[in-house]
Amino acid sequence: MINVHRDNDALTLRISGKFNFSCYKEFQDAVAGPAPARYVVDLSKAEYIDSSALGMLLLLREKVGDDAGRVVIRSGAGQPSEVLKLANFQRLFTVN
Amino acid sequence: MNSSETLSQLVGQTLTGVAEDLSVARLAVRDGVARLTSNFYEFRERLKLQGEELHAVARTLEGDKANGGTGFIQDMNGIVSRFVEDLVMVSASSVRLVQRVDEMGLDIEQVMRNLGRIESLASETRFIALNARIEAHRAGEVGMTFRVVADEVKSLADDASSFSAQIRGLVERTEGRLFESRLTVGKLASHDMNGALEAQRQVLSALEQLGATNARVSGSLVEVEKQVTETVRALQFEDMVTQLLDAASRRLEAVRALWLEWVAHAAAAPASNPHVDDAPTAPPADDNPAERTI
Repeated sequence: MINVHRDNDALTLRISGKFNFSCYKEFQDAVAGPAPARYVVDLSKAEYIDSSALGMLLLLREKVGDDAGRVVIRSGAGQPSEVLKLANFQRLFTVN
Repeated sequence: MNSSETLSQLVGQTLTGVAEDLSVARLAVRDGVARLTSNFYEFRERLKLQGEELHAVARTLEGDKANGGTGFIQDMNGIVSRFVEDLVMVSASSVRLVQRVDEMGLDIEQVMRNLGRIESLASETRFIALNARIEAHRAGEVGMTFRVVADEVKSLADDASSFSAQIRGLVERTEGRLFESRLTVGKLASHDMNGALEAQRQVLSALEQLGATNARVSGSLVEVEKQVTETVRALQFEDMVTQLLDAASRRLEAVRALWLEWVAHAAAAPASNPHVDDAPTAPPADDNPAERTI
């Protein structure tokens, strides 16, 4: 499930449970429209992510002109954090 | 005379025998220690070779870090990383395809809406043509030409409706196929990452274990070499034993010389010694204390 929060310069997507292809529509709807100064994808409440989640994050990065500073990922702990490390996402995003 | 000679012979033989025994013992000790030493050296050399072979295996697996080389395990790790990279790229491309398919779905909706408009235009046209036909009929002979035009318009409207229905059928089929493609591409985008995570974990743990084993083997090889060196050093007791045996041989030789001198002296005694004169046939053995002290 994706909880969307918008403030002045950031759009925060708080994702809980499983982040996989079943979230695609919700994710697309959430990030549709003009890009904010930065997106914050909060995975601290996510339990599981698969490769399609990584694909969606990469496309979001493309949307902001491959600017690593404009997509912030809060990785939390557990499987999502390990998968992000395995995919070397700290090179492509601001992961904290 | 008889028992004295026997005793003299016995002592002489014993002294010679002991001297021989000492010489044999000396050789045996020297020979044995030499063999032990060479065996230990060989043992050490073989251990060294074994250690080098183990290190070679470790280098193959671990890579020659000093020369910046990569080993089998690092390569495996690289393969896992590349596999993950490819997997993520495939997923990103698949998600992008799904995006395109969804955009095409929106276009199809637009086409359907337009088809709906064409159909309602055709049906309006048909209605107008029908009205025109009625009016033409009412006008009688004068309306004949107008009636032909009205029929033509109706037939065009019918054709438009029929084309529109055909297009609708085709577009609906395309929509169905598009939906199927979307499902397939969605599956293509979705890969579980836990297998790759596990593979990476195993590779890293193998690397760690190998490092620990290598260190342990190196440590015990150093220990064994130290012990062999110490053992070989301990075998230098041979020098001491040889020296002691040499000293014993020299002392024995001195005793033997004394004994021969004494025997010669005793043989010459009957002429010069009055005390021995009394019993020339039964000399030393029991009553000569000098013999016992030797």
